[in-house]
Amino acid sequence: MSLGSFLTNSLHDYGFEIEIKFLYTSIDKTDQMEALFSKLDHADLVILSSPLYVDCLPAVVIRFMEKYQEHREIISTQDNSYKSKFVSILNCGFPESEHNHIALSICKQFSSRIQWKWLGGLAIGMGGFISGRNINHLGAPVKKLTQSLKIAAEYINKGEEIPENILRAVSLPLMPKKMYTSIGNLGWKKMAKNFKMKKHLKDRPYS
Amino acid sequence: MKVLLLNGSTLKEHSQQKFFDFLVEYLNSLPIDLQIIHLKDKKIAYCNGCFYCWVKTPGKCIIKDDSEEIAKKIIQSDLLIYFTPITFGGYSSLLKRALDRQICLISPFFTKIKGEVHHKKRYNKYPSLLGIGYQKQTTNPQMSGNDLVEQQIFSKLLKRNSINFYSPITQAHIYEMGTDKNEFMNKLDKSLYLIMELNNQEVSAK
Repeated sequence: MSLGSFLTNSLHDYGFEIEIKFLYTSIDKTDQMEALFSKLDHADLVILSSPLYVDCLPAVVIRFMEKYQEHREIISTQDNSYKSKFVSILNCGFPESEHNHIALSICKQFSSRIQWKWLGGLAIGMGGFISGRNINHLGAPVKKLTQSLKIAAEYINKGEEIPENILRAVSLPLMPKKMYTSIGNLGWKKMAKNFKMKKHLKDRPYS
Repeated sequence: MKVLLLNGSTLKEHSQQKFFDFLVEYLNSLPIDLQIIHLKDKKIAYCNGCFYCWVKTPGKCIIKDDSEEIAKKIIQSDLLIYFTPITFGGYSSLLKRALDRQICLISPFFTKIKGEVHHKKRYNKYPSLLGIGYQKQTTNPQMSGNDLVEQQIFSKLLKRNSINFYSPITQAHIYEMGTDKNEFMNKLDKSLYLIMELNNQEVSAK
């Protein structure tokens, strides 16, 4: 269960009907994007769950935001009354969750431009530790994180902004920084070894 | 000095094209070797986050498209210029799609820079970075506060990119469409002078 799924499962317990869409596979398919937009136009809550790419949101997410803003400009004369609530949950491979802050500022601006209600941005570091694994099986390191996500879900359910102390709690490191980076550095070597490329990790093909 | 300009705008509107032409005319008047890549004309897939450019084909993305040519040109340039509409404070998706594919230029291994963890260098030398963002002023008075916030985000994003891509000098310049171009150009001129100075010093040192 990913971070996003953990949050949506918690919201499901409050009675939310959850639907999950993947931007990466649908971004260039007009029919799928139109179907998504019509759902977003009348959703009570929208959650963006994404990794951090190069200090920011991945291009796929930005393309979605550009397209949806255009869509909203077209429909704004017809229906400007419905305002979804918006939450973003971002994770990065660096140990410090603060790397996500610029991308979350961009999410907040997107929310403001299309007149959604911003409930907050959840910034998670050490994403390499979670890395697609089921968060329920990761034990003690994610205990504080999962507890805080459940509290965040309470506020989201009430339609209220997630308080600063909860945002901070979600962002706490999952383990000592040194331990994470050491495991990470070993992990790259192990992965390269699987491809018989360990000796080539420092190659400079464009020198 | 080798300068690579990545045009991340579709230049759909006449005013954008005019501003871009004005900028290119100015750059062409400088003693630099300028190359422009119009990203809208390039075939570049979205990064799929596989990390194979780090562990399977180190330094090269496994997706074969125009991104490889861009990566090569970036690392061989002295100055990299981003030209983009400011998009919620960040870059256009067109520019970001090209940038997401450039992680092959750095190493997967972690290192600390000023107490914060980043990736190590892959190459000895990286280009300076100049971000030129243009912004259409918001006419709705209830929304106009967003413009300044997004300008600030844009400048911060450039700074963050410069840490991860080891740019010797980084500058962000913002042009509000319809305002005085000369004032903008004067500031840009100072930045470019600084970067050319640094480049001359490096050349002399060699």
